[in-house]
Amino acid sequence: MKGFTKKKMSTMDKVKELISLMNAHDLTEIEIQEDALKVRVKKADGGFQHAVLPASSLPGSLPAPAEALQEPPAKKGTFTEIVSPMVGTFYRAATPGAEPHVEVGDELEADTVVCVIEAMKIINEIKAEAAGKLVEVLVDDGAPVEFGQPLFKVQPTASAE
Amino acid sequence: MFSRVLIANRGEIALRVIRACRELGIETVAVCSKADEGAQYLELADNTVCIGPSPAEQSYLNVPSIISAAEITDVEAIHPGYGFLAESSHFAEICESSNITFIGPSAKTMMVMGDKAEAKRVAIKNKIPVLAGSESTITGQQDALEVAHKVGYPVLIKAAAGGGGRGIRIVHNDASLVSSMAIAQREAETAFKDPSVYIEKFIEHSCHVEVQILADQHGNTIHLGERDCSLQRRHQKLLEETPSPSISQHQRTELYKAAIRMAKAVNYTNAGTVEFLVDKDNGKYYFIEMNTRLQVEHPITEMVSGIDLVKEQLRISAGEQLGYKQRQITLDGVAIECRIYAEDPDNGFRPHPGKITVYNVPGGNGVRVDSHVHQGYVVPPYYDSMLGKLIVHQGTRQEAIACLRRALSEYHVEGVKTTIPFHLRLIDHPNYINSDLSTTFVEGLLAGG
Repeated sequence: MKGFTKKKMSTMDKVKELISLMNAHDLTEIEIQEDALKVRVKKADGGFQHAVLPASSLPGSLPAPAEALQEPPAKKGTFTEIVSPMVGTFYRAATPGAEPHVEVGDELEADTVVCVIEAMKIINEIKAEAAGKLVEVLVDDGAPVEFGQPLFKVQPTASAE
Repeated sequence: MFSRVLIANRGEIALRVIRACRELGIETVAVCSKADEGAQYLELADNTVCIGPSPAEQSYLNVPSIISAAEITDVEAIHPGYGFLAESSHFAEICESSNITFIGPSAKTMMVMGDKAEAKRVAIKNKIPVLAGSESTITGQQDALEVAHKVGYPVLIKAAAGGGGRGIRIVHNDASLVSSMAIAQREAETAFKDPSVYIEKFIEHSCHVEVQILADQHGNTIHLGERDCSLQRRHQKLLEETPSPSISQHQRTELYKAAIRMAKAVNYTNAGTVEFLVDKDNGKYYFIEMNTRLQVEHPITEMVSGIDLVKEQLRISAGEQLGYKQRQITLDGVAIECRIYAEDPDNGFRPHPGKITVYNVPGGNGVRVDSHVHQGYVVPPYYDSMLGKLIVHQGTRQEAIACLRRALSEYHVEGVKTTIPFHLRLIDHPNYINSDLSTTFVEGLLAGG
């Protein structure tokens, strides 16, 4: 622990460097062992641990060996749903006590961050992925969510009547 | 004891673990992929978390997703079942560093036993015979040829990180060695993300006999007898029985001693299996590998020993001592298991996913069926096609075979092809009835009819 304190600044620099490496090379995990410090590296091969991840990108980008068993697009009536791309804890704001990213009635753009999901201590920003008006928040702040769980109900801009 | 456990698996074995937990009063969290969402067996878990899309790489093999599910459901331990992450020391290590108990041996032990070449070195050090072959992984063609000439053909090329019969090739001469090396390495790379292979002598007339080990964290290591798994196709087990009809009492005692020595050498804890090959021509035995997990065929050991291996795994991981000594263990009668796959035996055992329209399981005295399947169940195309396991337990081998024949003929499945007709043929073969088992028997039966 003593060694860790002494090296703290350089360790933080290294971590920052690692994060930019992760982003540049599409990595999901990094492991480096130096004295007591240990970090693991893993290349993204369809995994989900990107720092920023489009909400609906995962199901769509998958190979579809049997179409009947693939999940249908999250769509109900004239509304669409933004579904969780991962297992984790749902937060409406990036930090406790901050303003929620979005409120009911907001107009969303495709790249609007709608919430964050914490998975294994990593905060993942979730984007709307399509333009529309936020109709309903389907999950309570701080609630656990599973893969594919609907998070928001949205009235798509294109199909607005 | 734990109050809540997550089961990082699916199907038959997930249900097996859920049942053991329920009997011990442990709450269960099941995980599932999109393909398994809504499956009936999941209803028996207290909680279910969907962890990803259908392909296993993105769900049942997705370590961050499973750990995340464990964190949001606040479990104390994870049972990995068999297959998927059950032998991943990486996963066990992440569980350990996340303060979640991995129900199995330590990550360190798994790493040693997971490297087949390293495991062989441990065996040699502990005076357990191993097959002649390469001492470490083979890197090049020249290296391979040298080893093959030294031990003599035929030889086996095996993936260092192997399991489940993948990445194994039998070669009889230089030409096939050279061509098979490349294929075996590619197979190993695809299946285990590690192209390392090693070479060892291939014994033509052999039986596959494995010893079940239980070891607690207090230094108690016992065995629960052996299982004969000689009946395989494509190096995958089809039918297992205990006790092995192929070995003598003397050989049996030798194997037990060697298995316990091996487990103690690596400070093994939890349930594990030490696999041996027994040469039918000269009676010699050789250590093959140690499986650091629960085996598919564990129920036959449970039937003859009366010990619930999954409950023992949970107790051991929770830090409890084994409740008995070796001399208190008695192994009664004969148990046989058939693995029932949704495969077409008439078409090269091709997997046959689809909807099950009729599903009637056998019952009666001495019959056990471990299966997550029911009428209306859709066998997904993404995973292993095993529908379930039929296990029989009787006083003698003859009675067990009669019971198995009766039970197999009651097992009625429609909608998908199954291996049931093949099993019926197998157990009626004179060689099977006369206990003349060998690892090449099934392939011979398929080739010769």
